[in-house]
Amino acid sequence: MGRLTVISTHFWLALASFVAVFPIIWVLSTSLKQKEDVYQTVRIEMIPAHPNFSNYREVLTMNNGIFLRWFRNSAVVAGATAILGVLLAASAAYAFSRFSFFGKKPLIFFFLLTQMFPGVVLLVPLYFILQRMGLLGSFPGLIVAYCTVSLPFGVWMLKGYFDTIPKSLDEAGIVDGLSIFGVFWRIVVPLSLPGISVTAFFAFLTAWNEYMFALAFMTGEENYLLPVGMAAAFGDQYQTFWHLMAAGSIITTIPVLLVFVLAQRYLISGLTQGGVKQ
Amino acid sequence: MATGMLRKLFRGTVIYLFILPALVPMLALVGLPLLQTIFFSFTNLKEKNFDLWTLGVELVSGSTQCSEGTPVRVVPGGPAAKRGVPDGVCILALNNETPRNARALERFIEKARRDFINKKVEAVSLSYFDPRSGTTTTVNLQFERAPFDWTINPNRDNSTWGLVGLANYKRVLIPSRDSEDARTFYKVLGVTILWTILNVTFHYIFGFILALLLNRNIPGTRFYRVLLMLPWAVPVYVSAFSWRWLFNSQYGFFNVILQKIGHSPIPWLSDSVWTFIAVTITNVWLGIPFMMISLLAGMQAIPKDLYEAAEIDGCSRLQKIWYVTFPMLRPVSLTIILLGAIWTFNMFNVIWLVQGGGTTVEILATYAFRLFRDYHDYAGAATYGTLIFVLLLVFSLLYLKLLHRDEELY
Repeated sequence: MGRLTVISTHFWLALASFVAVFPIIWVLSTSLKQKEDVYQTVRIEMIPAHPNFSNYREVLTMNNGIFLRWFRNSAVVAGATAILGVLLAASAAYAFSRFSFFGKKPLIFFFLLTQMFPGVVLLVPLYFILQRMGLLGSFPGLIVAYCTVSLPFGVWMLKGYFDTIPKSLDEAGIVDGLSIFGVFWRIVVPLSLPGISVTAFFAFLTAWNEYMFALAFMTGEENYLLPVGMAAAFGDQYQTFWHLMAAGSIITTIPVLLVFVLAQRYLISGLTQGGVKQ
Repeated sequence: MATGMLRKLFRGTVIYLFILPALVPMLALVGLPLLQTIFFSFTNLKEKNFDLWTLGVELVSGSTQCSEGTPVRVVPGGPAAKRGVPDGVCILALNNETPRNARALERFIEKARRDFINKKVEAVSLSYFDPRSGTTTTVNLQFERAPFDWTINPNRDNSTWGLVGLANYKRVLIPSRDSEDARTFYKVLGVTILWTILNVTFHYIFGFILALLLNRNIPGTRFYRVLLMLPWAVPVYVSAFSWRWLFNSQYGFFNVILQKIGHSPIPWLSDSVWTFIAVTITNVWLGIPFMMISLLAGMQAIPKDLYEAAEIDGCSRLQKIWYVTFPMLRPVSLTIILLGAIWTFNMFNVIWLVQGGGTTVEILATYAFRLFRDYHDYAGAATYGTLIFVLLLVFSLLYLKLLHRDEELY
């Protein structure tokens, strides 16, 4: 590769990276500004002239620290969704990957079908079903609902991942006296930890990011999840407290970003080996 | 022999044990709502027909307070309570007819409700016995409408909604002079198709170019890759908020810059064309990483000798991309384009959140939600949902059929 090629590659990648991170950097910058510097139309301050944490303080202390409560709610729901979602997805994906059985094709097609129905329209029947099951307004109800949202992608990803593990390993396990549960749990799961962690991460993100279900199903300020709470506290269609919204957004983003940056190597290898079949 | 068959049977059952834990919640919380929504699209379930006319008395089961008559609970603030009917009374007669049991009373109330709605009667006379005072009273009551809210279950039998056949589909699909519904549908459908095509095209083109650049493996590639994947890792509502803030008409980054260079501010989120541009920019930004990383994975799997062979045959760099990379990525591309199209078609979040719940630009999914939330027209929303479903299903099947990809998907 010529030197010119390397330089121009750097140039274009750097430019694209800048566009990719700019909106987040801008919110970060907003969150550290004084109120007067946020609401002005004269200067563009990428780096705040008077950086301070007053917006963060206001967000974290408002209403007896309810923001932290929302944070905890979100963490519990998203964590549980990740664990439950990955268990369900892994076991189904294992069956799809290893066995042929009656109804396999329609079942896989069913998982694809669910992606075609707009989720918001399902909101209302789902509401009544949760109500009849006595799960409405409870975290378990929300967790199960999020699991169903994250399942199709998880099953699809993990099936692809399991397909890359040689079947001869399963057979060796059977010869050594393992049951098929044993093969699944002792051989396939440990070998697919990267794929499993990606699936768990996505299930976590599904729950951490979701807005509509949480808005429709949870009542009572103390039961809000982060997105709903932030929308309720910092702004709606008519007025938005941008400086507080910015600080809240950054706090919400930090945990996901940490996991992402720390684990991105595994995430990408998991994704590339499993998610996309060659 | 017999044990062999038993073993086979056992194995067959065990396979389902792996699937059931995922399948049961899927069927209960996705499959069932899906069927229910399709069913609702053939009904007239909306606030107007969602019959909430009530007398403010509810039957209570298992109560033994009444020696005669049917025990009821009087709903606070309802018509009965307003006319001074105390809680815990026993209903003796309705319109001078004495019901034999609770079930019969329920039927009487239902009949009275229909008569009232159809204006056959103006009031209902209710005779009740109060066990505490030992008196019997008769009052005249009028049905009143309870406020619509989400907690009302359409499966309760106090409503007059019912099947209307294909009326909703006719209303939405066939233009007529006295209804705007069909025109709205085709307009929103047009916007949705334009939105999907633009987004998927840009996602693919930018994703492809960035994957090519990353695949050159220059020093620092890993760093760029993390940065380029960020839009994917950030919560969607945070990204939506960031862009909404950038597009803010008064303090937003873009308009402040524009004014600084002497340009007049752009009405990003109020004018319909500019709003469309703004939400498209946001969604393009959001969707590139998925395509980029999938295509990069596909590129890394292309055997190096193919490129060497192309080089020997005298291919230029662009020709190598066109004759080697592109065809080799066909399977990956077809899958991610199909998924991307389905996701974008139903991309509720970006449209909804970037506009802060505003309705300047609408796609089918957001319009369906608005039908439900603002117009309380649940049948209409269900019809939209079902139409979206059918459109995407037909599109996917055609897509897979035309490209002979249906086996590979499994």
